[in-house]
Amino acid sequence: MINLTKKGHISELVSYSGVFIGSEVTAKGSIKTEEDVFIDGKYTGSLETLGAVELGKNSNFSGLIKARSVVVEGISKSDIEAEDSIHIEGCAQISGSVNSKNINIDSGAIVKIKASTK
Amino acid sequence: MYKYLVNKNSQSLIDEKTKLQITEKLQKNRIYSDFIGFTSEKELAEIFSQTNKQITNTIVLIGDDNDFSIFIGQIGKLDSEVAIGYLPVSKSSLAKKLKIGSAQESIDALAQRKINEKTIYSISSRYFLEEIELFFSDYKKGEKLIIVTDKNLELALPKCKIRLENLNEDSFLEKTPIQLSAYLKEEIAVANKKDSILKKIKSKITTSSNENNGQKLILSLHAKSFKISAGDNLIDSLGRKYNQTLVIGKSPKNIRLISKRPDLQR
Repeated sequence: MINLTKKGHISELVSYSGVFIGSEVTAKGSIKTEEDVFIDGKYTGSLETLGAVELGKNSNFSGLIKARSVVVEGISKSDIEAEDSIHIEGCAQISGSVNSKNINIDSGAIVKIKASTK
Repeated sequence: MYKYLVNKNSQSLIDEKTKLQITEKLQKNRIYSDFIGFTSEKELAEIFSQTNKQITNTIVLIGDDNDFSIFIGQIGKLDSEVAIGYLPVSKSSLAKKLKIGSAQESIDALAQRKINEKTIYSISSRYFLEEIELFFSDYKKGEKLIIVTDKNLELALPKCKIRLENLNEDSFLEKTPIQLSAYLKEEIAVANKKDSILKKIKSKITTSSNENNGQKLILSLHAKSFKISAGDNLIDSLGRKYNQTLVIGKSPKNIRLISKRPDLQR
């Protein structure tokens, strides 16, 4: 479930033009956009956006993410680079590397990452 | 010279009395025209192919939005120099966008001949101006639909209803001209002004995101073009059939659509 109240969540940032990939979808390839992106399905590939990214509870992401901010609630095996912040929710399972000005990991998250701050 | 086209199978078919009224109003504006009936897309395509731009500079559809969609569907057959008009005979969302709220306003607009250039999109051998919805006649569990974008993003999703929208009117979205939305089930969607932005998105593209009924929001995506491999024939809301593999993209031709206001952006 997406937390609609937390600051910086895609729910506050995403516009009507946002890319939205739901839990029923399997995707592979690359997305390069200026829009906010919400993924709740299975995705393999790269994702680059000037906007925010949110990986929902049902998401299973493998690949590379470059974005302004990233929130992870699902499974991510990826290298994540975010200009502003990376927020790993308590329900997330994440491995790979994360790099951002602010990295926030909630208790309960299963984490196996190499983290660095900008 | 104007040509007026009327779909003889339309649910909003005009009667002889209305036709006479329209003719009189047109003649007051010194517009003289032929009325031509068509009963199928094939006939419409033939009329367009035979239209000589030297003789006919304007073709006007009299009917409703469904008739106009059929009309636009074959517009690729028409010379792009010929202007297109719309004379709505029932409530029309397109007419509202063109600022022609009534038949009289439409006739005035036709007389003034203010032209908007509009981008249209092709979907296989047809075209659409604003949006088109596609669905399967039957849904079998486990069957997949493959969508590939121009950026080689490949998506597999369950067979569902697809809506393609031309977003070119919104300058903010010029870089992503087509929005593809897919959903399992459509219900009546009414966005509340107080809803969060995410909720508004969901209500715009589907209400199947309602978690109480077990339906899930599937996809909203933008691209310059899409290829859809459906595995089965698709149909649209007008009952027109489409091939199993569809290519959706910008038409090389624009259309010249008459509206109340000229195109100020160009």
